[in-house]
Amino acid sequence: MLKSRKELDAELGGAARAWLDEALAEAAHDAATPDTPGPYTSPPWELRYAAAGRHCGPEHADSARSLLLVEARATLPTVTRLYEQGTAAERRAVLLTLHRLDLGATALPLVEDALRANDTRLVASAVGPYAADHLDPHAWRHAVLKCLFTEVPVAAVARLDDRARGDAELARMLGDFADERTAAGRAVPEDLRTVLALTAPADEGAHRAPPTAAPAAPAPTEEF
Amino acid sequence: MRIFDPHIHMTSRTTDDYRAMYDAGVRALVEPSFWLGQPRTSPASFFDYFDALLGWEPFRASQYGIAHHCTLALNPKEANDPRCTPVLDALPRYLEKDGVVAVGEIGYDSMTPAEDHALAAQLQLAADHGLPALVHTPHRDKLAGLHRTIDVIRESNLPRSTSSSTTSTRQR
Repeated sequence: MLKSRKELDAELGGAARAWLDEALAEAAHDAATPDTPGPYTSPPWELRYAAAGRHCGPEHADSARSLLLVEARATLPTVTRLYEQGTAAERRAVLLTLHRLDLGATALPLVEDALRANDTRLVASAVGPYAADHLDPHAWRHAVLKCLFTEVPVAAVARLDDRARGDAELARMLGDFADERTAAGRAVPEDLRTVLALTAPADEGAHRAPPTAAPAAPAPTEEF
Repeated sequence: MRIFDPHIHMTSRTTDDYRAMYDAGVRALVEPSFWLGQPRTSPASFFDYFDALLGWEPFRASQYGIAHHCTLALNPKEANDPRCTPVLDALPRYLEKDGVVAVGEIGYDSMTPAEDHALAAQLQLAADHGLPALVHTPHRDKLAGLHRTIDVIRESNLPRSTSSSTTSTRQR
């Protein structure tokens, strides 16, 4: 989804490429000599971060912004500021890049904020590799349920199969959710069955029927 | 027929209105930032409002097939409260964002020196960022206010050819 500098250069027009060159140089300069922004002002490269959509086009904005974050070696205060001050598109680029920055688990509050949103673009961006690496089991299970509830395809969840495997608590939550939807006469999301099938323990998976045998809603909870 | 609505405050409208607008043919709109009725007391309150016009509101509109754009500014009424004027310092980073199509609504309310300052500063911001300005005309002493507004715009660095549009608003 995110393009490399080389791929981006090949797709951008001359003016956009020149603009990105300057923006990346400003970001690199800031990495070497960090600017201290005032309470209401921003270093130059952060204005470029905001303007990337206008200059590179909305289809390349995620990639351009991600390259800027990496080039600036964005720290926690910086990614937090860019997220908090950002449009949904700017927030998305922060979320998509967290795993490429040297932040450890410190940026989790941004992921948690995005998972509280009902803007599905943010929810989908929040469940990438960074969330897979750092969200604790409780928060991760709720993130999966949030995707189901807001109809974000679970294909967006990084390492879903790894983390779901053998997760009996997730299986229980999915079963309860299916029960609740069925009791209310509402449809059970198709993706729920997909995830439920993934929760089978690894050793069982080898001997049992494949995931397609996952029960129709309401899903039984006691089997898992 | 496809309709572009150049001035509507969706923040105060329900999702039913989005549906009705789509049914009537509206496919794109501009929401100018303005006074909310309750005066704000800090820049942070403006930032939450601006962020909503750049985040949640466009998402809400997109769910009904409508493209949402906005204009951002310190409005003339609240330009008179010194607690709010630091908004002017933060506007440069907002004016580069996707979806921001003009500086506005700016103009006069009571025609005070503070309003003079905010109007002139924001016309300069529009010129600096290559954006048009959306200008509100005052509800009281409108004719004199309009003449004064035009004079200030003439003195600004906004290019004459793509100069500001003048509009009125029902908000008081």
